[in-house]
Amino acid sequence: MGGGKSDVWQGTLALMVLKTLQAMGPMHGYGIARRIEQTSGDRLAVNYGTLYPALLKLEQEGYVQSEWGVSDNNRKAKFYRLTRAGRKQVTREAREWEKTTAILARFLSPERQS
Amino acid sequence: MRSLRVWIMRIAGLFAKRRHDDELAAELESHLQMHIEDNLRAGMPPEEARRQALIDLGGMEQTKEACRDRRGLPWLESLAQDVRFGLRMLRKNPGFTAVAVLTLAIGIGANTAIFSVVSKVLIDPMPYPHADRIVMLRRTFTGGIGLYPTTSIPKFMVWRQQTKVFKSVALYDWGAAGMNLTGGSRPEQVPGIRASAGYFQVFAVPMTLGRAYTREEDKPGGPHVAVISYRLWQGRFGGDPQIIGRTIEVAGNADEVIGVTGRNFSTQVPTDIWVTLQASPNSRDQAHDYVAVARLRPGVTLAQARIAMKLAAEQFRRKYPGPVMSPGESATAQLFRDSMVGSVRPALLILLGAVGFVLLLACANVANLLLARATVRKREIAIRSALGAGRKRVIRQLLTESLMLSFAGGILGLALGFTGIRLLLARYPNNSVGGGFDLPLIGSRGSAVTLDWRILLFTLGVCLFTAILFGLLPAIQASHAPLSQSLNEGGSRGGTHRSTSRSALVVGEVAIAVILLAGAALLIRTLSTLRALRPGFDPHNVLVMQMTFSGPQYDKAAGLAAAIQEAERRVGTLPGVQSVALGCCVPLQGGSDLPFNIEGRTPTMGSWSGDEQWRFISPEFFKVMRVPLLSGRVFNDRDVLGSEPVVIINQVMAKLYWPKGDVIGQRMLIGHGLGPEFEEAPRTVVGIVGNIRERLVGMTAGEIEPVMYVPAEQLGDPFMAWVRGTLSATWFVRTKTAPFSFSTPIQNALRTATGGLPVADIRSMDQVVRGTTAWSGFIGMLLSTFAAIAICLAAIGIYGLMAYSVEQRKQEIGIRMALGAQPKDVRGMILKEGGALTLVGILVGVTAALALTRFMVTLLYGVKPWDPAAFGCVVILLGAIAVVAAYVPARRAMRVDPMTALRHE
Repeated sequence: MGGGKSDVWQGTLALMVLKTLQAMGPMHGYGIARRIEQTSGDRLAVNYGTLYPALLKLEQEGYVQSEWGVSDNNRKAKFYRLTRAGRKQVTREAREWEKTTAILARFLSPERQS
Repeated sequence: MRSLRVWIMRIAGLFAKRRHDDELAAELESHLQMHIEDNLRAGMPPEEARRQALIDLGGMEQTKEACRDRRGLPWLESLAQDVRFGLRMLRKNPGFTAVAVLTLAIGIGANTAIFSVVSKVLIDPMPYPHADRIVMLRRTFTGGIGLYPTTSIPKFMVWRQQTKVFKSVALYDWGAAGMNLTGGSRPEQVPGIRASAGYFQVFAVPMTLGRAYTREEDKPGGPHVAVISYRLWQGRFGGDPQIIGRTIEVAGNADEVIGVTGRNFSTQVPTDIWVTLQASPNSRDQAHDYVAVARLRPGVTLAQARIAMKLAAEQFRRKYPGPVMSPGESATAQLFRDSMVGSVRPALLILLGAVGFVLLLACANVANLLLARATVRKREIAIRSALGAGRKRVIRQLLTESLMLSFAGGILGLALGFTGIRLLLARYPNNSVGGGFDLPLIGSRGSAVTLDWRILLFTLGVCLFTAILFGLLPAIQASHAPLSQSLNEGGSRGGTHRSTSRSALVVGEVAIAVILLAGAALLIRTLSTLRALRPGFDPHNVLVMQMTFSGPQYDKAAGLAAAIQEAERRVGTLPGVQSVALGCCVPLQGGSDLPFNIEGRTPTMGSWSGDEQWRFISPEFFKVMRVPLLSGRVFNDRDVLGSEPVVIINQVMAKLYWPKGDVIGQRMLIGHGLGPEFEEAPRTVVGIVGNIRERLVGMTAGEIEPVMYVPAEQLGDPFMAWVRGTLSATWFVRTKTAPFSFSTPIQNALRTATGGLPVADIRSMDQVVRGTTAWSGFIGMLLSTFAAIAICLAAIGIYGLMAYSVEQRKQEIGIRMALGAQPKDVRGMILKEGGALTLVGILVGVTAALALTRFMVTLLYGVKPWDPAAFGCVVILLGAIAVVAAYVPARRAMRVDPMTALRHE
């Protein structure tokens, strides 16, 4: 994997997908993947293969819903959109994540603390 | 909540697989196309655009697979796969499958059979509401005599004052002798008891009609009222809706029916009529003829009840100082169930242990089969591993097959075991009066033993346990095999390391067979000891029938005397009848004992000289039973009330109390101090008769109890008035040929002779004798069956191992023979191998059996648990069978042709 791109970890991928759907509205799988890469400033490489099991899991958990639609280029594609439970989950997860990063930040730069 | 939703979605995902797959394919395809278009737009050549898109997707098929796993339940799908494959494997080897399933069916079936009885007798709650709160109140004695179930009215009157622990208490007749229902065209004897009013509260008796009698009605001088059973109401009274208030003639009294019990109410001793006991609080009747039960107050523990009973016993001692309570006597409370099943529990647990061993044996045998088959399947498993099956996956596959085998065995075993035990119980009439076979709580002929969830659950558990037991070791071993080696070997030769575990299995099998055989052998010895016991009388061609003397004429001694003489005249002259007699009790089945004083001696036991068995008989009794007169004379028609009171004793009693021999003419005072009904003048000993075994239960082998016989015609009027209407006795009729053919004329003659009294419980004395061994016979038969199964399984195990070993060592044997070994050397080698394993097995088994058989001690009679003869037979029998089992393969080894064997190399 050249270009200094990092792989996305499984746990965070779900949150990124949810957040993307919240920001952009209903999207198809390919679009979500591209959007995540763009948002990361091309610093992340989404292995598209891992995206579909993750989407399936979110759908089983009831955070997203899918239906067939037509893409911008007139191609048939499956569109995912956030459910109400999904919106709540984004808020919850985001808060958790902020907490975690804040704590980690204290460890990584302790001199700022005092 | 979320995870439940995920589960539901995933289970739903198991279905409509094709549609989901198509949809996913379409989705990925559109993803790919969009990516390619993007790449083209970025200026890539078409080939490169497609290649790059595929790389980024990370492989179409892997993505599909990952989604598929996510969508359904992969383990369930692979289980289905395993089951399908397992079925195919089992069908391909019908011989192996049949043997394994049958072996397991026997093992599991035996467990189901015994457990279904254990479940009913030891686990199921008794059929009363909150049955675990019902206790039996009983006497205890220090010095190991154990618990005595019966008590007396005065003791009960003291005990029942422990109201802090007992919510309700009741006293009732022990044994339900039978009550005469007279009046109407068909006199009949039905089982009935006299019970205090508390009975209906203690057992929480439901009522179909009417009510139970009250404490007021149960007071002395209260009205004559009766409660009848649903069965009697439906039967004798045809379900008469007007039954309440009707008067029926019970035991010579006109009783008013006031209630009919609920349809499902059942008693442990069948009972159809309950009448008031009307016991007086001031009673001085010291006879221990009653059972006391109580229901504990909520929150009261059994331990508290025991303490209360101990206190009550001491209160009684203070209230009645003197001989009515022996020095070592106290009282206790025992769970009602324990008092019912206490005596059969050890036997049932032993049987449960025995079937456990049978199951272990079955498992060992199937494990052995699987190990042998694993060698054959080595290649198959190697190929599976080569194709990417992990070790866990292989073990899972093999365990699935084991589970299928054990479930097939389980289903067959459930059917076999359950029907088997029901058929068996039906062959052993339960609750037959004094039949010696009395397994409580299983209903008449085992009808209460039903297939319930507990038995199903137990069988399921046994199946799972069994599958793991016999399947895990072979599965682990099979999955171990190094790939390249097994592929190269070509599957014809197995490793030697495997036979170690197989040898261990065979040793274990032999050991278990020894244990089971030892148990069976000890019981067979017990049975033969019991059957060899000489009862002291001639049981052939003697008919016995029970009668309860009720009616005003039997309130006085003269009535009974007249009935006896009339019966002698009417029955004694019937064609085919030799003699007839009345006796209180049937030999071998026990009876009551009374204390006595020997005139001119100082009491050695409290205020008495001794306490021995007491029987009343009519003059012809010893003639009917063919008991020899050893000294003096037997009773005759002149020994009636008013003439000199006489007594005859048996030889044991004569030797015990008059060791010097000067017995005849001595006088003894029987029952003095027990209460007014037992008071009588001293009796003169007029004869000594041969010993009759009066009972076997509780006796050590060979022990015969001292007995005193008094003439039935000399029972005092106070005694007759006391037993009023409930005097139960037995007619003994000696016939010239098979006794049952004379049953009807004898019954008719007896009815006429006694003024219309019915008889019940008609048996031959031969049946009575057989009945004494019924319980031992039942247990012995079951254990012998299990032991026989064990021998077969062990023999198959030895044979299988030796045959396998010969097969494996064909080349070696061929080389040996080519180098000059004689066929008999080869045979000896194989026999030695089998013999060594058997010997180790026998040693282990004998050691274990010696440790285990002491738990059987309550089942044994006249045999020590370490009986050398029994153990010797077991060792010889098993040794012989092992030699035979090893001999067949050994002979095959002898015939190995060196050339063929060597050419195999």
